[in-house]
Amino acid sequence: MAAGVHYATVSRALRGDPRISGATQARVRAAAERKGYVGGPAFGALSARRAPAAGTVAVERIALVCNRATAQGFRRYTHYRSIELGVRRRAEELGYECETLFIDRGAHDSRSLLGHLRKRGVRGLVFGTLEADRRAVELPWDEFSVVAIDSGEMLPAFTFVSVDQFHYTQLAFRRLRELGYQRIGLVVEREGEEATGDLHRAALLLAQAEIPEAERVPAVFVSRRYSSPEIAAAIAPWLRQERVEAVISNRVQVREFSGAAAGATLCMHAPMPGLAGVWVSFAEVGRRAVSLLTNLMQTGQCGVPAAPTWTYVAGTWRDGASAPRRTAVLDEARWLEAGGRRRNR
Amino acid sequence: MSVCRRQGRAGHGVTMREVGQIAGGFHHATVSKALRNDPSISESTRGVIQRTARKLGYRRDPLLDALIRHRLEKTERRAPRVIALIGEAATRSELEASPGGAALWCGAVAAAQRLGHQIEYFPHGVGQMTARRLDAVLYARGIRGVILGPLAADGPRPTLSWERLSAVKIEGGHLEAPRCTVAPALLRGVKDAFGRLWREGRRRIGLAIRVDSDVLRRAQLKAGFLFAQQACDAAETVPVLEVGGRDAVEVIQQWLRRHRPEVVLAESAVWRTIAAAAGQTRRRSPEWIGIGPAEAMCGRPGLVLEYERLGATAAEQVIGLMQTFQRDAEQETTTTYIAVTWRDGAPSRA
Repeated sequence: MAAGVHYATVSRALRGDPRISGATQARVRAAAERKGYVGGPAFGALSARRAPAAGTVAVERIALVCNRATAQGFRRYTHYRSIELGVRRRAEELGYECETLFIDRGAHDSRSLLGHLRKRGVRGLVFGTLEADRRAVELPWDEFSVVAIDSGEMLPAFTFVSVDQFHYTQLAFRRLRELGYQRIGLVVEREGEEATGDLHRAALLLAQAEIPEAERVPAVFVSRRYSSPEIAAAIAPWLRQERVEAVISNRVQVREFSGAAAGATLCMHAPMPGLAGVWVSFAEVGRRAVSLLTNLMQTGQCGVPAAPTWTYVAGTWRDGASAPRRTAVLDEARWLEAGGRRRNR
Repeated sequence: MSVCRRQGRAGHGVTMREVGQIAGGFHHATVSKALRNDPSISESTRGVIQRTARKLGYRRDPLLDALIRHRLEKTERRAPRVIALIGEAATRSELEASPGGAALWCGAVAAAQRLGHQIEYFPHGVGQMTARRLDAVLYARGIRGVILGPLAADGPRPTLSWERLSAVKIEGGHLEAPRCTVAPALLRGVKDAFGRLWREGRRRIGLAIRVDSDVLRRAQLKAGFLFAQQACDAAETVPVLEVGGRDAVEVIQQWLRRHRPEVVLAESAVWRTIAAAAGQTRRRSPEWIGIGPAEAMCGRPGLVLEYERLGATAAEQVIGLMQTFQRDAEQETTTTYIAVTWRDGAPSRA
């Protein structure tokens, strides 16, 4: 060894054992750095468990980190609950211990989070999801293996997992065409669309390329902060001018602003009776995030990857009363026009 | 990979041996397999053992998993685990001669080796092994991991026993199974390439793809292109050229005459046809920008699809699935996209 000491000393020095003097520790560290020595963190932990420390058991820990604390309504959102469920289940299956941590007012900031993670020996993080206009997080990323669920605006380009927006937008569009709708409009939240690669709009343009130009409706943006009535007010002129027959949106409350048009959500993640749209499993997104994370951890990959990957979980269409087969809608309209007298057919 | 925890150590929960005993006298190797959902154990036995394990609070030990993985990576095995790479080429050397094939193979082999596995090539397609025969061979050889290489849209579709296999396909948008896909992030790539050309002041930018590109690549190229085109005036918009069929040359010439593209992003698979068509016109040819594997670029600028990384990622994913005991039939449909890179080159005229 370049530092001219026994390898046992090296081992102790690198672990910061107090039996080794500060000067030697520094010398060994410098030599290790020069030589490019990298300790396998898993094996560090493995040898730690062999040490006869009474009553302590080393476990591999991962954490799910979100920036909306319980006090701010974390568990009121079904997609968060699903992600948490998926993450925890998969972690348990693979034998990891998992805790949910919050970066938020009244919870952690970056510094206290780092302290907590170091103290608990957490090496793997799933961010899921970090909302754009809430507290940000900044950690020495090289210490952690990281997988991000969405959170595109809030984090460097980590291994990314999300629902398949490109696929579900096309799926919904094509299904609504099959159901007889011609003028299909997309309402999408402006924030995040760019960070996630404009997938909704790219998919819309692709699906529209297959239909006559006269039937193409341009997408409309709304703010994430808008409530349903605010969206309804914002898009009313668009609905009218474009004569929209069916609205698709990544908001689940699409029925509250689609007006007279049919409505289908792109992102159904909890049972919603009567709502048509694409069912996406955030639990599966969470599971997939943990699978990817443990893969990174077991192969010792930390920090921001040189070349990122994006993994998308596909959804499946579900019919619902909010977007019935078109003939029925027309029949009803005709029936109303005729003064409510049902015609014999 | 049957590993039991030593019994009687403080703080370490239940062992596989205990689970086996309590579930009704099963050997710990059976327990290990049952907990991994191995189909060689009957479904009812798997059920009993899994329920018992759950009841007793059995937990996998990630540190031991990491150790096993580490040992797999570091120690040489007399009989390494084999993953099948399935492709259309009749032989491995034919695969390596195809565009991107050599890189794909190298990437997959290197990644597999790093993780203690070996890749073996199996041909499937016209005049090759039928799916049934292939399936029987995989079964007899005890191969549980499969990578499906890029397959043609009109070729036979391999129907293997997906309930038994951990599997990943590369591209292959026309196939239902395997459900996990690894593909180049072409949507992002084309959008960025278009933006780059646009900022350089280039106008009348076109896209030329193979007719089956939309099916194989999930229309990633077209979607990215249509999105980027929104920046153009209607007068500058060039429609997508799809190359294929018997009258391809005529279609290309007509497209060139009518839309006069200044620069065209073109999949490497259509270059030869385009070159033949463009050679016959007297019009000044547009500049061609490539989309394809590095060795097919011939010094052109363009989007380089890194087949080595595709192969490596596919191998890593399959091994990940195998090691966490996930078979294809139980998977949700997922796609993993890998970044494509822009490369400057000496611009050339086709």
